[in-house]
Amino acid sequence: MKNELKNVAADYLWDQTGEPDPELKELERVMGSLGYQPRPLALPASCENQAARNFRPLLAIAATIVLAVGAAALWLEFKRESAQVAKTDAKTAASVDSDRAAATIPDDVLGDAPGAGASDVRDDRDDRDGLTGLIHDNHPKPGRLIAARRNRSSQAGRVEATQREPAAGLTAPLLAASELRAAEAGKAQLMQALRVASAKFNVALRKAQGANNRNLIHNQHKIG
Amino acid sequence: MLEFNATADLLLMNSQSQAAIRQRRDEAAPDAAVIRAVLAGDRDQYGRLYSIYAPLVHGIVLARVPRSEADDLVQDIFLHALRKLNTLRDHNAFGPWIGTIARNRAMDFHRRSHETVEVTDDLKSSDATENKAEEILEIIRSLPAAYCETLVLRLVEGMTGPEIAQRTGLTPASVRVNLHRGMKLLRNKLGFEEGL
Repeated sequence: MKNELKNVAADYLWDQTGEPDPELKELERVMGSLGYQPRPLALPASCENQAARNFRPLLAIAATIVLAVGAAALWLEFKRESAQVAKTDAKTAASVDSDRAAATIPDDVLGDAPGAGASDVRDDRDDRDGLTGLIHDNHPKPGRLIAARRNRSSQAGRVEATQREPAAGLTAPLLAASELRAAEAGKAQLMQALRVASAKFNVALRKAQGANNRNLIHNQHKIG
Repeated sequence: MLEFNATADLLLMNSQSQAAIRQRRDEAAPDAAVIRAVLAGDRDQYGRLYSIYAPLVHGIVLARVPRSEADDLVQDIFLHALRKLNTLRDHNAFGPWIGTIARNRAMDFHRRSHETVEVTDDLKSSDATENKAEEILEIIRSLPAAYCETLVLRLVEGMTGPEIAQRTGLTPASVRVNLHRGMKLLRNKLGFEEGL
């Protein structure tokens, strides 16, 4: 190996310098007839980057997935808010019930508030909140606790109180009519967006699956 | 303020030195600049790469497939390479990359063409020199692949050893050894069979 490298330091076979070997020269002449003949490269007009072309369906699928996830997140958020509103509504109804029950208790039972009935207490609270009974304190007052205990044992009194004086918190809507309409419209829009996203996703999925199934043989029939 | 100026100077020097490094690199390896231009949409620049590397690809293909198929295959390989050019990581390694594509396409050619038509005497070239060249080419093809490819590039395409090394990505020492060992084997075979 070393001898080979030493001998070819400046040989014709390596870099065409030095004394040419006649046999090698003849070989070059003969074999040169098979050499590459320059020919223009014919580039078709549609020849473009394959990776870029293949990237488009993937991009479409990714965009559809992002859209679907976004729509689902919005829908979930909307649903959660609705559930919260329903829960608040239920709480409001319960507290209004207990207030009504407290209103049936005679004044002498509420020893802590001489000269002031349960209805007076409620009126004070309503004035303080300024929200017409929609939002209530989480800490019940002693008078209300007693009222609740008494209320459990006397259902008739509660029913009587409810019939006598309709609850303002129950009758008053939680959202204004225009707000309700806007919420309904938003919900409808969201559902429409979800349907569109789902349809797009299905189309993209079908396209992606179709690209892989090019070699499927269609219209196969049983023989015989 | 002084610190700010010093930082700005440093950044400027850094960007200038990077540009200078890139320019030097492009001068040392013009392929990278050409490939960048092709990737940017300048398809005319691809013609430059084609003119530089077509003999290499032709030689690699000719060492494996019939001569009649070589020219079309070279065109196919360059079109395929253009489509896949964005997958080339090292822009200075276009030669080795397209050489690998050429070898793979030549193998695919043999895999696909199960039914080959034997070239009869009628179809052979009437030129005596070409006939002789075809016979020698068959002998070269019977040599180990490393020697065969290097000998075809040297004898058929007329490339020098350093050129073969630069374009195929092989080390000059490997090319030199392949050339000398291959030539030795070829001389023996030619001496046994016909002699020049």
